[in-house]
Amino acid sequence: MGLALMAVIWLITLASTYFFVAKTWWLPVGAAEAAGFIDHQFALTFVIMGVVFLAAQLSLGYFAWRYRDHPSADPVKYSHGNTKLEVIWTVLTAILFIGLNLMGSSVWASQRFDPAEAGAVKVEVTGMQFAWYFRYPGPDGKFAPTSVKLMDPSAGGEAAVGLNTSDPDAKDDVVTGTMYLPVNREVDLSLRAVDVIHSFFIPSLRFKQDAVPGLNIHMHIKPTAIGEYEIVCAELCGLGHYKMHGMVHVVSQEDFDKWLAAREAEKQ
Amino acid sequence: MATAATIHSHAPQGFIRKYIFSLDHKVIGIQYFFLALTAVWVGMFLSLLMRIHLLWPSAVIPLFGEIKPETYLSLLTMHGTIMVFFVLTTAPQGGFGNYFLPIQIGAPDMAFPVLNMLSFWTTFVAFMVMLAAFFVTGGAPLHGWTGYPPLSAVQSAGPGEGLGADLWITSIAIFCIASLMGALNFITTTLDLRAKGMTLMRMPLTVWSWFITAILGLLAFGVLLSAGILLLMDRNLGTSFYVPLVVVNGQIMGHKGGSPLLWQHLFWFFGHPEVYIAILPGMGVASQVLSTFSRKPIFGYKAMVYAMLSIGFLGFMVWGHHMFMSGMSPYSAFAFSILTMCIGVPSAIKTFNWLGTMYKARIRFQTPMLYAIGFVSLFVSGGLSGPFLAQPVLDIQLHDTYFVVGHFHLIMGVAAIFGMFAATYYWFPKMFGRMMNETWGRIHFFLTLAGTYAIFMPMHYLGMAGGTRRYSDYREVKYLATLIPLHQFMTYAAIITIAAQFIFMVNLFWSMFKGPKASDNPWEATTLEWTTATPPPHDNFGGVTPVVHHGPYEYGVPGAAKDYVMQTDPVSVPAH
Repeated sequence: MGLALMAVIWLITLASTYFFVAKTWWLPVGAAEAAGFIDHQFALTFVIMGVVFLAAQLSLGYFAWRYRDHPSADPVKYSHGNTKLEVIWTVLTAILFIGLNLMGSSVWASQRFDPAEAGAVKVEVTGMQFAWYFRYPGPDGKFAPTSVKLMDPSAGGEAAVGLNTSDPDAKDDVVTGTMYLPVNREVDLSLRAVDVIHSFFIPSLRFKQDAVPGLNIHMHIKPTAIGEYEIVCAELCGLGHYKMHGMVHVVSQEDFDKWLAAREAEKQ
Repeated sequence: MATAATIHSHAPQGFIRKYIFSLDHKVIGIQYFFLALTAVWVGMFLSLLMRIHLLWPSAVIPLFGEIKPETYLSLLTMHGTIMVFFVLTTAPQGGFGNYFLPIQIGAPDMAFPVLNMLSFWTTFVAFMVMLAAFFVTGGAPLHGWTGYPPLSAVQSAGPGEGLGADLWITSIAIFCIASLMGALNFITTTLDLRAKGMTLMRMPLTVWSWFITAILGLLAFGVLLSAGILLLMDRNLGTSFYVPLVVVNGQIMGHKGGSPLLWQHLFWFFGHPEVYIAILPGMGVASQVLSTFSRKPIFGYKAMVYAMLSIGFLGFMVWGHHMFMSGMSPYSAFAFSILTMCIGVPSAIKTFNWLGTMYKARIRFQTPMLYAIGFVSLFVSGGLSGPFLAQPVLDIQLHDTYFVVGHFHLIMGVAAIFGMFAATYYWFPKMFGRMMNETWGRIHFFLTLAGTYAIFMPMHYLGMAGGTRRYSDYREVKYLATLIPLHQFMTYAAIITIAAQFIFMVNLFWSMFKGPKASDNPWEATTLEWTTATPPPHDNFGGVTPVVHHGPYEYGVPGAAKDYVMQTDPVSVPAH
């Protein structure tokens, strides 16, 4: 029985480890500035936890076999523990866990404690059951006010986010269902939700933030590779949660300007 | 209030007083056990429907019909809620704790037998109210077991958010009241009714785990109860605790100024300790069983006690790690994150000590031991994904993905259930007077161990790749569609693993009536429940009050007549 148990535990352990190490499924290729650091921290955590995982599981299986009861087995070692070993183990794990944690804190801080740099591209993201809308302030750089009284989700676009079209700042505000961002420029995102909580998740950009009714949450990211990346909703928001997805097109500055100008022209 | 001593002067006669409205903690423990067993089959059946839907989205289930997206979400909500409250909280504490805590400390019953009966029947009512949510107009709620408002607070936010959601909250509120009654009883019993010589540091680790769990329950369930009442008021009385000005389906709702994050704080202030409420009794049982079947004292008894105490203490200071992405202040994430990493330390101590217990032991491999070893394995696997999620920068990628689902299922789901299986196979002889079948127990163990790993390990791969949770259909999003083969594998694994649970059921009921008669101490264990008759008499020790002479795990004592020394045995053991 000890042998069978060891075999099964070892097999499960090695098979699980194989798919991690072979990276059969792994984080999608990162396309934002923070991705490098996040992925590095992920890999570091992965290696440390992986070593502990292997050590613990393999010794668990080995002990089960090695110390199984049989007629010629060694007598039990009568012991209530070893305080010295206990202290060493405790201090080691404490240092390891807390150290690992501190290493990750600088990126969190830079993304969240400081505002976006001056000249960042402003985009307002609005989540509602079950769509994302993106608003660009246009050449004036100012978002016009919105109002819940004007919101009409069924109409889509400007009406869906409740844009006050009589406001002068609204003239050049562009509302779209697809997101475009220029590459290598910081983006100042403001996230809001009109009905329930949604979560704006772009796996390739290593970005996730809940959009919460009543809050306007500012975040900033910098996409670093041209491409199309899928946006999904990560917070359960109702029956259509699974189809609340979208696309972000990261393009060159030139293409971005062209795209925005075309939207402005459409609006006039 | 009648004390345990007066009530237990004579055993009750008549079926109803003896088996239905019984005051005997042993009967109440068995009642809790069967309630949880019913609930786990309901919960498991719901998960089976979900897994089937993910693999065959348009399948029509006999007697159930087609699973629509909203049906899928209510299955998920009810699965989570039923499993967390009526299985993970009910069986380890209400079931085994009720039955064995008084016996293990040498008491004739719980401190408040009437309160004990009341707490069981209140739990039963809560379960009935929860099940009723399936049968009302609109069906069960779809807001997930975490019930985040505004989704859970606005009736028009989705199907099931009408009466179904009201029943859901009401059920949880009733459950909270039942748990508060139970917690008071456990704490008082442990503090006041210990036999002569049963000092705190001589209590079995199971007793410590139930005691600490009860303290957590006392502090956590009150908060959830209040939070639930506020949610009911938001839904039905027009208050705005959790709901700001929102527009749902183009309609402006009457709420103003509420904070959706307030619910999350209150919910997780309960929710995180709840994780430990589910797992601590499993740790207790694993320790007890590992020591017994290793024929060796538990490694570091005191360290185990302090580890559980610090897990319980720290467990109240980490709730914010569920909220890194919620819009909560990013500064507080630092504190929550560091404290969460700290809680990994006592968890690591426990694992180290379990391995230490098996080191240089003489391990007997009866089914309870297999499950205890399985518990350790799953605890390690589920625990080690914690330090990923505890780091806010990594949580950006992993939050609300299957990585989280895999993490908590392994540790608070399957590991806790392995604790229950270990407890069932271990204490069944004492509870029912017969032995369970070993061969079928082993087969059940290996299938369940391999099966649960096959279901939950791939969830980590899925989550790393960005696989979002709580989606009823993964074909809509391109990158999610590429991950469907993993879902297929998990569904097949789930079907096989669920099928294997019938082995357990047959073994359980067959052995209850046909199993070989059990002796008083079939495992040659040392704690007080093994000193009394099998099954124990109404007052537990047949009129004798046990006297305790030493700690709970004296195995392999040099010079002793046998390889174990009972707690009541007056012989001396080496100082340690």
